[in-house]
Amino acid sequence: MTTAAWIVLALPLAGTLIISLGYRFLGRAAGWIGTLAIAGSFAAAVVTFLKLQDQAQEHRQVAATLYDYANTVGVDAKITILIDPLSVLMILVVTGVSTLIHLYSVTYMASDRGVARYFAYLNFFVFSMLLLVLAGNFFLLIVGWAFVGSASYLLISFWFRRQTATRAGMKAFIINHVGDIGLTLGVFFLFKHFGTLDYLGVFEQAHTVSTNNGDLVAGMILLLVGAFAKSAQMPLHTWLADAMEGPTPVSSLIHAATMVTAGVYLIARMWPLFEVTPAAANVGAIVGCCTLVVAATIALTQTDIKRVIAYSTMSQIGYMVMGVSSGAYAAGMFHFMTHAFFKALLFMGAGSVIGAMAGVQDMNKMGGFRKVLPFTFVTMLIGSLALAGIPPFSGFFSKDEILADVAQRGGWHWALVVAGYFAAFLTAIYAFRLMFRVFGGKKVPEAEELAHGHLAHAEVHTNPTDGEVEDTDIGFPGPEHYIAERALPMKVAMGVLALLATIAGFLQIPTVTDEIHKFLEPTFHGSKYYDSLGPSDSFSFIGMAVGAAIGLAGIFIAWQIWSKRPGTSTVILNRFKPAYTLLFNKWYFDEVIDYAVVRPTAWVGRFAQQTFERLFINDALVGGTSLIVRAGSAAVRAAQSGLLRSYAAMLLLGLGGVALYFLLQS
Amino acid sequence: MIAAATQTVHGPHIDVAGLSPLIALGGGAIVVLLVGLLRPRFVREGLVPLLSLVALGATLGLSIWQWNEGKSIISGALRVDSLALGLTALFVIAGMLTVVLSWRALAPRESAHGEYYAMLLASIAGMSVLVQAQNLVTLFLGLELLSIPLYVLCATEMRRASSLESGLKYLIVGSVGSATLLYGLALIYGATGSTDFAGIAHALPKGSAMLTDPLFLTGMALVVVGLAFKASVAPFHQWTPDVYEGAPTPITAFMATATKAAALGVFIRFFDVALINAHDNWAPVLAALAAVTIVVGNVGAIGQSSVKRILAWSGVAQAGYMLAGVVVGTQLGIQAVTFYLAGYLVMNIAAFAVVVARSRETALGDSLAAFEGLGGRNPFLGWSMTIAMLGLAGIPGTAGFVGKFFLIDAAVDGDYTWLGIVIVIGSAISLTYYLRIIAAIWMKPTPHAVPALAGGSAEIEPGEVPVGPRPAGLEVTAVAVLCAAATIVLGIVPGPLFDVAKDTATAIGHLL
Repeated sequence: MTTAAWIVLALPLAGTLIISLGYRFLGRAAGWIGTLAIAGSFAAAVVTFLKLQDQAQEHRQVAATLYDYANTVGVDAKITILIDPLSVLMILVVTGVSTLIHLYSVTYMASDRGVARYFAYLNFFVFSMLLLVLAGNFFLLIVGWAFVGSASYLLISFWFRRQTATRAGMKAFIINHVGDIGLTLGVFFLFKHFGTLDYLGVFEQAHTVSTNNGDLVAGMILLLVGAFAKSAQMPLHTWLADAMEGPTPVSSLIHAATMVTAGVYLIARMWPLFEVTPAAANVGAIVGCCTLVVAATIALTQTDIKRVIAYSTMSQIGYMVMGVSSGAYAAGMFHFMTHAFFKALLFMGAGSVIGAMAGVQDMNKMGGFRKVLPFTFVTMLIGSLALAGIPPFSGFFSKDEILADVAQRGGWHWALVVAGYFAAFLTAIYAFRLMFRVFGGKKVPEAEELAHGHLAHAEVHTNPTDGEVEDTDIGFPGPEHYIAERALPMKVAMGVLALLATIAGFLQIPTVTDEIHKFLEPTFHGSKYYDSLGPSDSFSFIGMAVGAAIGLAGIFIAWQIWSKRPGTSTVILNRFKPAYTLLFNKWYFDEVIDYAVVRPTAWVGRFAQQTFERLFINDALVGGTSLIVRAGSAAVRAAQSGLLRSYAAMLLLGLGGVALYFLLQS
Repeated sequence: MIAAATQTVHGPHIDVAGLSPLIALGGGAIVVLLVGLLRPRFVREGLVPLLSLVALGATLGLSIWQWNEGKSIISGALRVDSLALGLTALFVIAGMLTVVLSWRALAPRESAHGEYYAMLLASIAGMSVLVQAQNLVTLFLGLELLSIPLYVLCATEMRRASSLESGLKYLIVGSVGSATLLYGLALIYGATGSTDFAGIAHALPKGSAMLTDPLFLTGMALVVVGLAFKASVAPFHQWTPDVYEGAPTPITAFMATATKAAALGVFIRFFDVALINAHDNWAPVLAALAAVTIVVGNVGAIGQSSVKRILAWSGVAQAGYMLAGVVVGTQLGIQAVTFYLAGYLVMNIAAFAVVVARSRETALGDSLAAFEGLGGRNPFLGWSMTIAMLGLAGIPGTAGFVGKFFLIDAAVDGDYTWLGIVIVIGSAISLTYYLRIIAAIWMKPTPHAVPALAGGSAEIEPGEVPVGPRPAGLEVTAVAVLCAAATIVLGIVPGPLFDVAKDTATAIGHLL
């Protein structure tokens, strides 16, 4: 079992190395090598899963150590992985979805000049993500955490000649780094408290800690900062929308299905600690709830197709964070799984639509694609139904379970539930706003062209964000665009995900199957919420009925506004102009952060630069230091005359100094 | 009567097994010297290096065979233990890589193949004796056996004035150093009445009056200076850049790695065994020297344009880092030093192999310009040099990081926290010149301007690198890649090497 788990890790790493060393000869074969590596990794993950199920219930938490990296100054840093139901669920979903997205990318990125680089990065991402979820101690967790951040940066800025892409990459990297610092500092707190970096060692001691121990709460809140940055929760969420500058499969894999759920995984993994620090857990629940509402409202107004889905991702992760922070662990992880399926699917569909639009992402310019993109339409419809929470699609079961479980906590948690249902209503509206605007209505010229059998082709390639004209050389997207209807790999990937998005919910129907809950049991053994939160049957079913009704109502409203009575949206827009402006500008989070953090920092920086730095640091410290270093360098070089007599003299001089010191002791 | 005499007079017992690594080296040197006299070209250019490799391989094997013996041989003159053998293994590995780098180099062709390789082997034998030494006489014997062949080896490219200059400088300044050391050893003998390390230690019980005896203290000062000279510790380092730059590059690589390891090995032997009770006397001096060395080495490397000179200065600084492990006089310190020596060996040889390759391929020699745009044209060499530089700077993921971590750990553990801080500051300064090389490799275009070379054509097409005497040779690239890979592997899986380092430290059992 442990061997299989190591293979899960080794294959993507091998893929990265092979592709990056052989980029010159591989060309397009790189895509297939990358896909095969991840597919092999998925197979190994399945083997791990089966072998884990063979173990007795109480032996399903296995830590395996490859070797000891360093054991010094009280820190035993081992290369250890932890195989238990939680990590196995994660690796199954990560490798499975990654395989499909690699397959999709084989076509989607085919004409890009940097295709080998792309797959090397993508394999590296998968390796990092698996390292993150398999890590058996905080040491490897931090390594994986930082690796996924850098992989995300590399892939967002993949089209490195696009100014917008490189800026977005930097933004993501900096915000993620804030999270990295939070995580690392948090781990210092934990280490101080427990004296070990090992997960199991820490968890064993967790119950001995008094509730809401001060420094542990601080540590857990710092960990949450890491989780919020990675999972794009408020107020560290602004990078995710800009991350859509990356290629669409990257948005699908990293910024929807896998990496952004790392925060959810972290909170679920740390449950023994969060249960003794309810203050920190409540912070997580409230932030998740705020994010899910705010992001859903923003998604209502955006016109860039990928950004709509990106805000939807934030909102859905908000559900998960709220769930796992409130003790609804199984429901949160269940929603992570179904969300990975339907959100990856939605992004892939968006990629296909963008292909049909020859690179245009603005929904204002789309319409009437239903007949000409039948496969994309059907799969995206499935994805949207799952997102909106319509039975029997997967999102219906998982979202309602989170809300039902959170409701069991009672008290102020009811506010979270109400907010959750409100956002679910908005979710249905924005999901079907997207569907009606892209697929309904009159055919746009690109759709007309496709109806005549031609794929629209841009005369001049432009950046979809700022309209700047660009070429198709390396560092820009390739000249060709692809739609799922005409590419088998894309079709297969979307088909499989559509199937999963439809049926995955059946894994956990209340009172009927409950598979995820049972499977995860060993990880959450001893939790005070895991079993006690189970809502009563009638409560579950009432919740589900309410959820379904809200979803249907949302779709109905979307239909009324954007399909039945076109123009309604303009009327509403004009009537609620201020609200619309607020939402369209994403609640001005970027601006607020800009005014509250970036500008004051820059101002303080400038002020300090002009006064403190120029005089004190630059002149005295830096100037002084570099003057000393330079003077020292000059002196050393001057002494280096090349003349033997001066060398001998220096030797004797030095000897004189040493001898003097020694003789002073006599 | 004669029969009776032969029965009663026993010859001294000779522990051939314990001596076997030295016998292999000495015997190998003689065989190589003799075979080198044969005329056929393939014998001189093929068989001689091969035989040298065989001799070195045999030494390595015999050292491993004797690993756990831990015994004194030749009436206590030498000690064969895991520290001596571990360091011998390092010299041998450095020697093997040097042989490979020298295979098609200019130096052995200009001198004579037999002599060149025989002297290399003799020098390694000297190093081995040096780190096995258990008394003052064998210490000096080993030091001279190590030094004299090196003086000659530096001058083997005898048609190049700078090579001759390098050899002569090394000889003269080295003699001053040796004389200083010998004077110091004599004074210590005079003060303690013993040439034996154990005897010296015995004559110096803790708190004895001897520790304030001017005669003894002067002797110690002279020994510190003599050994510091060999390890190129500032302010006795000045020969290093000049000699390193002038010597044939494979020999420079050998000196930078093996000689430094030998000098630090004897530091450990002499100060941590014979003079351990005088720790309070010598530790502050060595700490001060280490700090000065770190600063001077790193500062001196800034602004150099020859890569060999940069590496020479960096070697000075690195000696300072490693001296910190000797200063503390603990097991942890010795572990850190031996670990760092091994990491330093692979990182430095990787760098020098790239220098060898570039000075063969281009007419720019070892100047920084020869490395511009290397990454794009030859990624193997480019990456090897990059990894070597990152390793020497101590970037995580390389052997240099782990090594520096252990050194700092040892320094802090031994109450020399300030020295650990100096190491960190030194590393920060060192990035100035290490990154300069990396920047030249990856961020500069291939140089257009061609230096005026005698006989070079005036109109070389722009964008062309001036072509050097001959292609680099596959073996040089292989050495570079191998050592760079080892740098990474030791940085990610340091456990096994660290276990070996721990084992070597147990040889000095009386330390904490």
